[in-house]
This record gives sequence, C-alpha cells and structure tokens, in this order.
Amino acid sequence: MNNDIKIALLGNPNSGKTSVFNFLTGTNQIVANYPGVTVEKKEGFFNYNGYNINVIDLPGIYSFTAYSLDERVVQQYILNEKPDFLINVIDAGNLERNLYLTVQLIELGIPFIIDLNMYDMLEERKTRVDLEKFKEIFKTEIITTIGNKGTGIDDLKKAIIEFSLRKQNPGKINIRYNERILSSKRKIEDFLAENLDSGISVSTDWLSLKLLERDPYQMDYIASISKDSKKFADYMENLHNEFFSLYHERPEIAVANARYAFIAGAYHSFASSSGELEMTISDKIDHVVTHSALGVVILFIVLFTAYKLVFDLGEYPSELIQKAFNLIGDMIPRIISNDFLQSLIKDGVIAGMGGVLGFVPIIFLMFVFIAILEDSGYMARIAFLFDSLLRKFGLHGSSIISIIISGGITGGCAVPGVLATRIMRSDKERLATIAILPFFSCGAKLPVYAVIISAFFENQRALILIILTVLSWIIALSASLLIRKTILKGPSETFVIELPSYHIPTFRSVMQRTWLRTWMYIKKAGTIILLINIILWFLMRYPDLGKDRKEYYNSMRNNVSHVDEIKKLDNLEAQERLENSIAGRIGKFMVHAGRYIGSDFRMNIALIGGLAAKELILSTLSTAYSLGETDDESSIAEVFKDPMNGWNRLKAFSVLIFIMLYAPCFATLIIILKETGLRWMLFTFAYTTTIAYIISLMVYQGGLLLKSIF
Amino acid sequence: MRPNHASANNEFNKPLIPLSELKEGDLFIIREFRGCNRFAYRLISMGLYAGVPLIVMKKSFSGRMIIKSGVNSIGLGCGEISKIWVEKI
Repeated sequence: MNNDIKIALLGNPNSGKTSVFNFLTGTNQIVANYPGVTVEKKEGFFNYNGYNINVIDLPGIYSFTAYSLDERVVQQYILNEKPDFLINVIDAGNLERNLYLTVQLIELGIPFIIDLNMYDMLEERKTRVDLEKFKEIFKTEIITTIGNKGTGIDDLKKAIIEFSLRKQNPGKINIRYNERILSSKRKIEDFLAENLDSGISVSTDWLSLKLLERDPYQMDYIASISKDSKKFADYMENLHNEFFSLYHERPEIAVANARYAFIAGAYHSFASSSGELEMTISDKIDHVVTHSALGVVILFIVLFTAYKLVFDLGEYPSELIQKAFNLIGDMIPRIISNDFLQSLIKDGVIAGMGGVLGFVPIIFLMFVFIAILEDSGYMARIAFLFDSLLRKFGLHGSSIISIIISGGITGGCAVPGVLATRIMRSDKERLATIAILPFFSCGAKLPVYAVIISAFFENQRALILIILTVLSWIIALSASLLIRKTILKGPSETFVIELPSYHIPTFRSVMQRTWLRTWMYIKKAGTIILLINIILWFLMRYPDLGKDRKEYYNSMRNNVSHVDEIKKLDNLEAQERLENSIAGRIGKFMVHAGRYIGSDFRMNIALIGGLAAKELILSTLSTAYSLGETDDESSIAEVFKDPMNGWNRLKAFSVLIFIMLYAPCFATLIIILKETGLRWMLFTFAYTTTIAYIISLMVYQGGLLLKSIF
Repeated sequence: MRPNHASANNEFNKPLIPLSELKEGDLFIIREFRGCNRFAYRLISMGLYAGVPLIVMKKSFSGRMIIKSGVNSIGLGCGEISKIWVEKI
C-alpha cells in the first residue's frame, strides 16, 4: 500500500493559504525558487495516521489563465508535476470572487477539496452558507477552517487521507457557455485534430477554452507541437478578430463573464448575504491611512518606529555575535602557530563568518517587521500610497519598502532590502529597485560619515547628513528613470491591487515566515560571502613583506624597549604590508583616477576594503595611516585634520559622496547575484561605481573651479 | 470591449463615463474596459466584471482610487481608472 500523498494548496492571494500550510506542516518546510524564476516555492511535509503527506504551497492567483508569472508557475506545476489532488483554499469572507478560480479547476478536471477558510468571517460579513448545498453544486468535499487559529486543521488532515483513499474524481459541472463561445471552441478543436504533430496530455475541451482565452502558456505549448506554428498563430489571430468583429467582445472576456454568470447563480442558491457595500472598519482605517498627506505621515511614523526598533534591538545581539567571533579569533594564535594558517583562519574565515552572522539579528527583526506589514494588510496600502510618485521613475509602489529598509532615511541594510523586493510582481520594476538600493545610506556607512563629518564639518553635521540623504534620493530616482528608459525599457506594470481587510497578525505566522526567510539568508549569504572575504583577506595581505624588511622591523624592535615604540613599529610594519599587498598596489595604481575626486592612495585602499563591508573603510584607513587595527573614530578624525595628510573640506565632501554611492558591499552583491543573476550583479557593481565617480568628479572639480574664480 | 468612440451604452442608452470622473461615494456599474486585454482580464478575475455594482471609496488628489464591490476593495492607479468606463447608478 502506498502511503505517500502529494498535494498542493491553491487559492487567491490573501485567502489565508499560507496560514493553513503553516498549520499543516509546522516547521517541516523547505523554501526554494521554481526553476528559472524568482517565484518562491514552499514545500512542506507532515505525517498523519501513517501517511506521509507532501504539500506544496502554490503562489496565490486569481485565475488559472497564465497571464502573470505566478499564474504560469501554478499552471506549469499542476500540469507537469501532477499532484494527487489540490486543496482549493477559499476566503469565506470573499466567497463569490474566490469561486472564479474554483470554477476553472472544475474545467481542468483535476480532483480537489475545498477548504472554506476564515470561516469566522461569514458571520462578520452577515453571510449564511448552506454547506450541503454548496457540496452538492460543486460535487466535492468541503472543509471549514480558521487558518490563522489552526481551527479545523485536523478535519482537513482527515479529509486529505479519506479523499486520497476514495480517489474521488471531480464531478462534472456544466457551465453554460453561449453558442458564440461553443462554436469558436469547436473550430479550435477541429483545427487541433488536423494540425498537431503529437498528442496532447490535457483534454481538448479544456485546451480549446484556454486557447480561446489566449492563455500564453498553452499558446506557446501548442505552437511548439504544431505541424506549422505560423499557421496555428495566424488561425488563432483570425479566430479572435472574427469573434470581436461579430460580437464586439473579446473572447476571453466573454468566457470570464460566462463563468461569473454560473458563479452568481450557484452562489445565490447556497448562500445569502446582506450588508453589501457597507462601510467596514477596514474602510474607515483606509480613509486615514491612504490619505495623500496624512497617509504619508503615518507611514513614516510606522517605518521610522519599526526601523528604530529593528536597529536598536538588533544592534546589541549583533555586537555580541561580532565580539564572540573576535574572541574566537583571538584564541587562534594560541592554537595555530603557522603564520599563514593563523591569519587565514582568524582574518579570513572567522572574520568572514562574523560578518555574515553578525547581520542575522538585524535581518531577523527586519523580516519580523515585513511579515507584520504583510500579514496585517498594511503592505498593500503602502504600495497604493507611493505608486503614483514612484511610477514616474519607473518603479512600483512596493519599491518604497525596500528603499526604506536599505537606508532611504539613513541607516538600514541593503541585504534585507534586496530580499524585500521579492514581493514585487514585475521583473523590470524589481530589477530597477534592486539597482538603486546601494545608493542609500546603510547603517555601515554612518560611522564613516561620522568620522569625515566630525573632522571637517563639525558645526554642520545635520546639514551635511540631510544633503547626503536628499542627494541619494535624487541620484537613485534619476538612475531608476534612466535604467527604465534604456536597458529595462517597457511599460510599467498596471497598478491594480487588492486591499485585504486588516488583520492582527498571529505570532506563529509571523515567526514561521521570519525564520524561513532568515534561514534562507544564512544559507545563501553564508557560503559565498565567506569565500569572498577569504579572497579579500588574501588581496590585502599578500604578497607579504620581503625577508629583509621583516628583519629590519625585527632589529628595530630589538633596539627599543618602550611598549609604545614597539606598537608604533608594529603599526608601521602593518602599513607597509598593506601598501605592498595586491590591494595596496591597486590603490596606488588608482591614484591618478582618485586624484580627480580628491582621494589619495590610502583612501583608495580603504575603499577596496569597504567592498567587504563599508565599516571596514575605517579600520583599513587606520592601518593605512599606521594607527594600528583600530576603528576608533576620534583618532582617525585627527589624522584627517592634520594638514600634513593633505585633506581639506572639498576633498572630504567629494569622498563622502563617493563612499555613499559606490559599489555595494559583497554581502549585498552576493544577494543581488542570488536574486537576479551574474549580469545584473556586475551591472550594479559597475554602474554604481561609475555614477559615484562622475558625481564626485563634478563636485570636486566644480569646487576647485569655484575656488579659483572667487 | 468596444471601439474607443463609443460613449453611450447602446442597450440602455445611458451615458458612459470614465471611472476617473466619479467622486467618493458614487455608485456605479462597470460597462467597458478600454486598453490592454490582460488588464481587463485581470480586473475581471479580481471580481470587477461588467455589471457588478461598485462604490468609489476613496479618490486621492493624484487620481488614485479605491473601489469596492461587496467585500472586495481594490486600489487602482490613476492610469488604470481612465481605462474603465462606467455607468453611474
């Protein structure tokens, strides 16, 4: 007896499908992407009465016709992977609209159970449902659940086993399509019978309907197995044009209207509702939170509070993790005596791991915040609020979330910012959003700003920070506009968004979602970032100083006795080693390019170090200025102030702008690589650095010009 | 979908106006979708099909709108609302 059952959960967005999935599978979940796309694939497992059940949580869709990426992924999965049956999760509070997808499952002929979820909403909506009648009409099992509380999940598990044992075939339901549709369907069926090279795996009845709806996935599939794909395309084009000219209606719209006519008839026979078009609490809240001015103020208060909490609460455990790794690093010389291995493990491996895991508390809290925004229904309102502004720059309303997370109002992190773009549907808008995130001032850039600002602009701290923030927005939005007008040319995604009723998120759902996303980050970032850190360590360490130079420093140390003098010699040796390393040589090689923006070779080396993590700019600078391994802000600021080092306010401001805009850190680049691919990562690296250079060049050279005039 | 020159509903001879001309609290019925078919299909699959009664819940200065059908609230961008032709009820 086969005890393995494979099922998939399918339903509209906001139908509570993921809550049901979480209660069914608990923590036994795997999150990955569907092959070749960035649509999240969630798979889970559970055992019940000796049965092993494998569950897939499919993306939420409104229709089974594959116009959007999500719809295409769902159709591909159901047709190719062939689960034993589906669980169609329906939002009881929005029953009529949800049945549009159910009707299409009936047309497909795949067996399914209906999970009438959020059953408690029926009372709130003043709707009565005769479940027996409902079952009779849709000819399948119906289970009621309240997904976010876990109510009815056991019944659903039992129903899954029973349904699997019965191997119940879907009941036949006759949706009365009019003669216009039926005659067009017949024509398509006749054409297919004569013009296909091979057999088809789905029923011609369903296929002809999908072709009449111009389902892109099925159109491509049939074109690929047609004897003459051009003939097929021409035939379909003529058929659609003929339908439109005869009936003044597109066939896909006619089919959809016929389905709704069936649903309306069925719905009114098993359900009665009152209170339609009533002003609900959600509507009242929406009046305030979607207000053009008030809504923006509320949003900034919410984001600022959340963002303060994330960084204030996350900072302490992050520091603890870093300190723990530093402690482990300090123990290495006592365990390993070989210089090379010691440095590799301490500065490469352990520092790299600390860099990845040190982010985890902040990323975890950021994901908690995103999950709360999503589950409460507020996320959709944020997108609605900002869409008209951001659309002017080729972005989407949802881009605002990633921008704020990445440091849109200073301090943040681009790593969770890039991950947060996953909620966006349009690839072009998503890529454009990802490309501009490095321009914003993440938390790691702030200490660097603080040092330079305190050295040169002590009395204008706030003004300089405001100028930098405004500048980052101007450059980011202009860059997005440029990208969307050139390499990512194309119309913006239409802005149609469902605004679900507000809900109080449940702890379990928020935590489950947060944990899965955080674990994905650790797995993804951990491996590659570690490798990159080791490479960077190598670049900044090798080639090592020659034997004669080492001997020179050793003999000098033997000649001095004071601890401070020995430390001074250590720092000088470290400075020479850095200057001699590959990174140091690159820094010197770039000295000509750097000169035009006011940078010197020491700053160039620090900027290379900043690729590993922006905060490393300070510690690399301190080594380059022979201060030793410190990121003490005041001592570095003193170095800047020293006229001997050749820095001035203009150079400092130009370099500040370069630091704000140039290539993101490797952690961000790796996440961009994982989310978008190598080309977009390389593009982001190259274009951000180019823009940083051009803007800094304009500032520095413009400043010099003004200086010479006045 | 009908050709763009249509401005009156032939069946009832009531004037059709773009959704963008309605104000908050107005009740209406969708009669036509103009523009890309996928946009029309998406709205229909979200429950906004021709003939269903709706209400304008919110209209912002920039033209964005929240419309509601039954329990279903949908936010529409300003570009989208000019493509939906409706009959005020």
